[in-house]
Amino acid sequence: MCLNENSSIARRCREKHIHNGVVTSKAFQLRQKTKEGKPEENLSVNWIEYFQASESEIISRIIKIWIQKKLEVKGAQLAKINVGKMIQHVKNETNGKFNLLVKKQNHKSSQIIDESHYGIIGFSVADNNIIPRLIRDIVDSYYPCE
Amino acid sequence: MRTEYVYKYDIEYSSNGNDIKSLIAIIIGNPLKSKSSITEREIDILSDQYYRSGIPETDALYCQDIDLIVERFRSIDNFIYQRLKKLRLYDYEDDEDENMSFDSLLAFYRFCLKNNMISYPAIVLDSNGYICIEWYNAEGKIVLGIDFIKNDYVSYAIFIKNTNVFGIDKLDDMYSIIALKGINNLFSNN
Repeated sequence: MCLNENSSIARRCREKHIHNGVVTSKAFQLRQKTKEGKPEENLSVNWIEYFQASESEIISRIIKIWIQKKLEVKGAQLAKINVGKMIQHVKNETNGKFNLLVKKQNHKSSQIIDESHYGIIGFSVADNNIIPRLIRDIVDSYYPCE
Repeated sequence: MRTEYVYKYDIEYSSNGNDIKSLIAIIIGNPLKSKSSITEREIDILSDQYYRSGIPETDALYCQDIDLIVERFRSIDNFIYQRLKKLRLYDYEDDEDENMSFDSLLAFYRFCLKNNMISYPAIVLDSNGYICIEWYNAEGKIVLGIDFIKNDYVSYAIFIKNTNVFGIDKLDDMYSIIALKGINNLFSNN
């Protein structure tokens, strides 16, 4: 199942990828090597509209999920991205070469059930030079995670 | 404290003639040597010898070498020096990503010796431990991004309206591409 173009997604931007308050494109880069030793195949995000609540409530619920998953949120920022805007921007800037999708991801952890977990697909670590920079430039807003 | 350590390092290896460890100590460790007195040739020798030395990246020496080079930034640019020190802290706190890459740091060091920053970029590490720098325009959009990867190669992206350029090239070859694109307000050659 893929998210439609009206949807919004949230991406955790770690403190180490932020300099002087500016979130860099490295926050949107696929890992060369995951814990399983393989390249990351999708960029983890959370579907914002999954939660039926006010924006501030949604933000705090997503951050809570990240904390439950033991993901580092100290000094991190939550980037809110419109799916349609992201897909269109990447398509335009790469002459149609990349067609990103936001697809539902299976639970990797049996203990934490996260139905809002999605992944951006349609690019690989070989494209880390281009796609993360294009995604970074169309972020709608950032929210501090603390 | 750092100077004392470097001095010991120098004595320990200076008897090895042209051994890489003594070169690092001589070039990086000598606190009396100013930025301008370090020649390009010395840096070339340093990197060449290092590649051939086969010191494993996990070796304790490797970590010490990283900090020695970070220290050298103190005399080049305090803003960059402070940032690199901060990034080194993430190496100790973060076990998800690779630590700062020696090769990448060395390439960035050479870049900083050769260029003055007209406006400071954001400086971060990617998951491979490579040093990445990015400049933004007034609207906060990326203008130029450079990732210092292995063996003096850089992965770069230039964003100018309707003419985005992406590539992997030798650092020296990238300069000409940047010049061709008319980006001359970010850094200047010494």
